[in-house]
Amino acid sequence: MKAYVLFRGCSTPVRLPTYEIATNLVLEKLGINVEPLKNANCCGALYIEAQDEKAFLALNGRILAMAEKEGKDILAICAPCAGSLKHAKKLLDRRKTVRAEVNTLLAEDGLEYTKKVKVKHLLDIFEEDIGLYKLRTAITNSYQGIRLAAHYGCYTTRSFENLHTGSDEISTTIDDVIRIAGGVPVDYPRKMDCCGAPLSAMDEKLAGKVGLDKVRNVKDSGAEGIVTACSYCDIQLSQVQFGGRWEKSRIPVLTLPQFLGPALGIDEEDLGLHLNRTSPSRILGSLTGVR
Amino acid sequence: MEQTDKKGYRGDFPVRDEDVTSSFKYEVADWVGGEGLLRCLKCGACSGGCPVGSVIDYRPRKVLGNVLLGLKDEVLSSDQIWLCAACFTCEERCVQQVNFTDVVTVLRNMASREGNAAPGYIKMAEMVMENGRVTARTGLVDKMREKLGLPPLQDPDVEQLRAIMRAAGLNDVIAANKKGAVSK
Repeated sequence: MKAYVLFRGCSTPVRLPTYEIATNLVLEKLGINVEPLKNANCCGALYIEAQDEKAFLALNGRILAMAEKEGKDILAICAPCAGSLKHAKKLLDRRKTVRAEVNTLLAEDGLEYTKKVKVKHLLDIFEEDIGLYKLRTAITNSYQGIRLAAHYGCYTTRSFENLHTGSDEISTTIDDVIRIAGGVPVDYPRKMDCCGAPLSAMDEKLAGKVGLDKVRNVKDSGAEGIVTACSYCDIQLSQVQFGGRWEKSRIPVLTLPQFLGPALGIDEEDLGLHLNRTSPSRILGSLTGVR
Repeated sequence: MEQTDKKGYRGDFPVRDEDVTSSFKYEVADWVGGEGLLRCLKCGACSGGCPVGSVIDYRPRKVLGNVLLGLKDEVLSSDQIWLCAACFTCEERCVQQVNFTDVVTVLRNMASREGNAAPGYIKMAEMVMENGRVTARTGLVDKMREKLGLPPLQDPDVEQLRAIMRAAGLNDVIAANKKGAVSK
């Protein structure tokens, strides 16, 4: 059984614990063992990177080194966390002097980063470890053609190792999972665009506008729900629907493992689906099996 | 510098010699991540795909242009470098591998040292210093986690983390920005 340490970050365990439990349950079902990385700090994301790159590299170096101590690769389910760790890893791996500097800082904590550990986002696990064929055989309770829009989240699709290839911009993993589970993936304008959440530290109104634009594009496409693979995106795309006069026509937002779980025969309540801010009942109503 | 609006756009105002620091682009290119700047052709692919630019008048090419021109004070003190969402779309599309997101990171680091970091960003840094994370644990969260069958959340070892952050200079950056806010 393949095993990972789960780096949960700041937002997921506090603001979206349903994503955490759904990830655990779904991956367990698909033969992947996940243990939380204990006592982990914030990755700093773009916020600390913007102010003090050395501090950013130290924060991420600490997380990478902690995982190395556990002897397992890292799974991050929040896109900015996965992105930060991948980006920092690239910088640390390519520059010996920077790595030495960070390791000097980490030595006080009894930690050392040796380049060994790998970082994966949840979508990487589906692509590289589980595989879509195996996923197909695990479906026990198919959806009946519910139309859903995938929202990828910027950092989930960027490889960081190899930017500039352009290929990362046409990721299809979420769409594939929707199709395999019996749904119909729907395309919409500006599908790969940012949800706007990172802007909230600078200009909350602007962040909301970017997010609402995204939600409007999805609704215009006729989709009946949004499937995400990032806590930050998920919270943002739900939240923007609660301002102003959007009450009547909210579109449900749910995370990929929450969507996939019921199709694998996992209990909806265990997945925390009843705790979602936007009710997913319309989506769950499309399941074949008796509920 | 009064000739720019809040977002840092010059409009039709002329650039004067005294506004220009001609060595600025080399200063930026000297930082890790800033190297790509000097390859910029100002083709505008970055602006074309910018998700922020689709909502407001924000143009990465304009920021790059201002840096290449040497408008150091203007770039480092205005909002224009803080409006990037760091989504890396432009970085992926850039035909010259300028790496706009990385260039912006360099500019933000420079601005932060001068006490010009965006207040929202400083708040995040303070939270990391204080708790090691940017979200607070509450009784409600603990209860919700228990209900879902998740283990209780543990706080990171903050003392150790603070020592590392202090050594990395994050304290100084926060202090520089606090002082700036007071003297303004």
